[in-house]
Amino acid sequence: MLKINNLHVAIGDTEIIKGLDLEVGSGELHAIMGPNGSGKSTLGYALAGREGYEITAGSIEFEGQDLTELEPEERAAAGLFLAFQYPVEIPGVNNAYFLRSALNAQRKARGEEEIDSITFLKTVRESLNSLKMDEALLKRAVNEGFSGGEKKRNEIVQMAVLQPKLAVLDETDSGLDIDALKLVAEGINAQRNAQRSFVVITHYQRLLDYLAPDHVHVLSDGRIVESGGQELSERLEAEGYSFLEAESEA
Amino acid sequence: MNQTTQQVEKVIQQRYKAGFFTDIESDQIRAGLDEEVIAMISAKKNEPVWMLEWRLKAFHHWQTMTGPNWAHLKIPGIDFQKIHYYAAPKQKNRPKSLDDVDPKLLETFDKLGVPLHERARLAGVAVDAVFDSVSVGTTFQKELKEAGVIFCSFSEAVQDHPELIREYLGSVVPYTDNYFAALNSAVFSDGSFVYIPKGTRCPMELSTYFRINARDTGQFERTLIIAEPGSHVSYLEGCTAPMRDENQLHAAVVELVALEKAQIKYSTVQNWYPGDENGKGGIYNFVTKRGDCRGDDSRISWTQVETGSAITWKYPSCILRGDRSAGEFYSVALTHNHQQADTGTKMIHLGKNTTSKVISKGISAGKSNNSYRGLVRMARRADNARNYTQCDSLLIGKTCGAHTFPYIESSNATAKIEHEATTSRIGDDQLFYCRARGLGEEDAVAMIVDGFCKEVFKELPMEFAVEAKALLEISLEGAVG
Amino acid sequence: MSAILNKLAPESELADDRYGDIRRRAHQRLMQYGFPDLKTEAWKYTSLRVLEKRELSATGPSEAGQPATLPFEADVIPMANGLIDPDRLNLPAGVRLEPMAPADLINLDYGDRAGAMAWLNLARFEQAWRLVIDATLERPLVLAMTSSSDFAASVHPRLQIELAAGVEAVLIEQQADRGAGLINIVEDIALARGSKLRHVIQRRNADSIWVQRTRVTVSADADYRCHALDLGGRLVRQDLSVHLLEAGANGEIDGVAFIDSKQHVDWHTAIDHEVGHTNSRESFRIMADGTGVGVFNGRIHIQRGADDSHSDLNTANLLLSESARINIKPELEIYAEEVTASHGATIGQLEDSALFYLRTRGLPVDQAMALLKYGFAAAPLENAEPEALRDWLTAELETVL
Repeated sequence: MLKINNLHVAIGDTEIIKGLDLEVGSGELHAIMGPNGSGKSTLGYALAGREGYEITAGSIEFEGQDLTELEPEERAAAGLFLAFQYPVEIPGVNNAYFLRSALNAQRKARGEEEIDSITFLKTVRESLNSLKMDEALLKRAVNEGFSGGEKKRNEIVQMAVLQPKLAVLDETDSGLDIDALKLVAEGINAQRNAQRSFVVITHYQRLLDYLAPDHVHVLSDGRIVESGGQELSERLEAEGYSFLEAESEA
Repeated sequence: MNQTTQQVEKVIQQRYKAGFFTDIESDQIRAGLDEEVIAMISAKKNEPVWMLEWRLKAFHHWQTMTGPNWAHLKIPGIDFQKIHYYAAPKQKNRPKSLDDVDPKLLETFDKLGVPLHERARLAGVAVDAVFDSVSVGTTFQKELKEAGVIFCSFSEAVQDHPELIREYLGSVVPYTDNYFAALNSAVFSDGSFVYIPKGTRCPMELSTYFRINARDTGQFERTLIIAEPGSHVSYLEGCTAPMRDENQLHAAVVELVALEKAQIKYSTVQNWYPGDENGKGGIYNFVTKRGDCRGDDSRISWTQVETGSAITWKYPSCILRGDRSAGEFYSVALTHNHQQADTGTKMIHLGKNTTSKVISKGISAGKSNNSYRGLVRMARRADNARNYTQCDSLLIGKTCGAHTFPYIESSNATAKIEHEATTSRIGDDQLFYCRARGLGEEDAVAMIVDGFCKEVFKELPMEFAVEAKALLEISLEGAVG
Repeated sequence: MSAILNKLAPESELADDRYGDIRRRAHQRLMQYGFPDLKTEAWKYTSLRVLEKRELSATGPSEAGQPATLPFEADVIPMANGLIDPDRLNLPAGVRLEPMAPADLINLDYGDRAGAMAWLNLARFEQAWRLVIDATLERPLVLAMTSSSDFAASVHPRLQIELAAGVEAVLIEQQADRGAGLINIVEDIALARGSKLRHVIQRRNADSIWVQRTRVTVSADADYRCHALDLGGRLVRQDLSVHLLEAGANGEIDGVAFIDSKQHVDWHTAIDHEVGHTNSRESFRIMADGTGVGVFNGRIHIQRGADDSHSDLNTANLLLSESARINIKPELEIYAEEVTASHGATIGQLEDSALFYLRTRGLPVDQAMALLKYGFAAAPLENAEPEALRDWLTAELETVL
């Protein structure tokens, strides 16, 4: 589904990602862990096509298509979803209106019929309920006045409604208490199937306990330095990221 | 008036400690303003012809102008023919060193807490002391010379560094700029000159102390600071005057030039005589201060603590010409009795990625009026320029006024401007809370006012932060009892 | 600028009707004070020089075409090219319209040259109407000010609107200029004790110079709310002052101006707390696109003795193009204690991060930008009630985005 080959990403003159390789197959869940400043969020933004994140070398292929050629909204229509580490507040724009506009824009881009409002509302309500979010949030402005946890859960609601093929979740677990974390994990698990893949970017192992990733990668200084199964995340939790330095010195 | 207000009023009644008069023989040019007086000033200073010509051009321009009337001030008519434009303590010869200076003058500055003689000098601060129209001496000359820094009186600079004066004088504040700048350009008598060579970090704080002493005399000093590429300087300015019944005029011009990557920090603690509690006497402080961030990555920072003057009209400004240049303005202005202040800043963003920050704290008590007037302008070329402004006013009593007049102009679609202003008073609940924790009323008010001003005080160099705090504390003395 | 004065107010053309003395006095003042220029503080960002170039006749065409129909039931007072035809009116119960008495027009003072346009109105008004609302209205009352495409006159409408004690009303000024003349309105609105007015100003002008001076007085416990949607015109100058005269008076202004190429819109608002125990709030937003110029001057004045008053003003502004310009000046003038007064002001642009966020959810750039602009501009309209009114205003806004 996703093939990243020797990816280099720079912000201005500073290279952040320095030759990253990653392959994600259909239905797989990959976790990317790493210390602060290792380039985790940069990877998410580069995948979603944020301006200013320049791909200086390498390639990103998504379902055989060159992702780097596409605008952010074209990537979304192609089935890529990024859950933001810091979801953006958009004052004055109604949450439900926003989500429906987004869904219909994607459907239109794919040559599909617009969704009718009854089906739409039903889908959204189900997602809201499963994440224990108040339906009143639909009438509020996007992310405005939401608590930190509500914002993160709202990202999962959006994912459930937009039904992407690949979801990149950037530190969706940070700032959540344990109950909210469980809800988010359940929300993610409910969306898992053989056709949908996930890249879960996280600093901590605790979310992975609920997700049971197929692969765990350790990102350090812009490269994947270690890959393995869930045991790797447990080792990171126990030993911290300092072992990376020890290994690189050795 | 409720009890709190009374307490606070009492607390804020400032005792003016610098109000004494030095009895010293003065060499004064006759009162009045005409070409002859200007020629006499120029002759006293033995100036070259170009300097006199410049003064006369300024004078002729001034004659075509009328005084500003847009500030939120009531300015009584000033009779410019009644003012003496030059007064100097009589000295036989120009003193060669501080040892030759009249002991009475040294004593005056001693009393003001600015000792000039070797033994008691302020550590780490070079002082230029200006008494009425002339500089009486500059400390630490030798040390500064070693670093290549020029710090001398303006008159000396005209003699010793004419090429620098000719290049930079009026290049930031032309004599056509405004009424009082034109007047100053015609009659300025002395002031300080600072030149920091390329790549030099000035080894100590530089300071000028202004003292108006003689009767019916205006003080028209001129300060010029030039910071060559990559240099740093921190400059401090202090001012006092005797208590007199009549108003005295102070119309200074300060020009700062910061070239590429240069940094200038300019701090003022202004404690001119504010007049008595009935509004009689006091200094009219009409000052033009402007810094030009001429080079890329340059920075100019203004900090001012204003407690004096009957009327203050003053807008230290930054022209952010160089790309990525930065301007800052931090101000505390306290007015009481019948004082009037109309002060603020202008941040003119011309270069790309320029930034500016304005923090203004106004405290008004008694029958005073305290206005913030500011301009933030984003010119068409000022891509990605940023400004943040915060103006807070504290009202003490029912008869004062606090006003905010920010002009915000943007012609660039990538520039961002943020402005916030609040007006409030020292609340009964705040005072009560402090007292319930065991603080006396006086301490509580001092603490609240100090907290209100903290953001500005922390920008002052250590020596001045202490003085500024002390100044407010003097104002707060004798609250209880 | 005296050439303008002689052109706009030739002494020989002053009507010698029952208002004659009033007109002559106003004319004298006008000549004495002169016309504002860019040195006049209140006109610092707006020049009226464009009037020099216009040849304006004294009367416009009698027909001005129909105003756009509103999506809700309303009673309409048509004002065609500045004139109301009293024979064509069908006023609801509790509303009456009558010519103002000369006694209502004496002792008016518009100050120096900053008030020149108001003096001009007083010298030259064609009609002066007193609109009295004596009973709570069930439907909005609409003042539909329309001008025709061949309109090239100077007109000076004058209105005095009074709400009786305890009355509630929605008054909509629906302004649609299609001409290229001068429309110079002076309007006084008085809210008696306990009355409630929702005052809507919806404007979409063509090439006329539109100068409107609205002065609102609010008595004890009365509540004034203004909802303004200004979609611009060649030159619009709106002065809106709200005077809180007695304890319990409340004044609120929510406004949006969208200004596009070749448009200049200048709003000067003032909220004056004349006594204590009065509250006010204002939110005003400008979006300037193309070569549009927007000006907002928002003043809060709390007079001596007006203790225990509270006021807050917020203005947020967006520059959408390289050539657009916005100048703003929020002002606080405070002479009382026990008050809280604050303002916040920003000028900026659409947030890149918000734009990116919308795009990652699949919205194309144009749609994402329109949505952000809408979100920005619709916020002050949220307070408009009833819902049908809010829906109409937001729909009007959408037509220009």
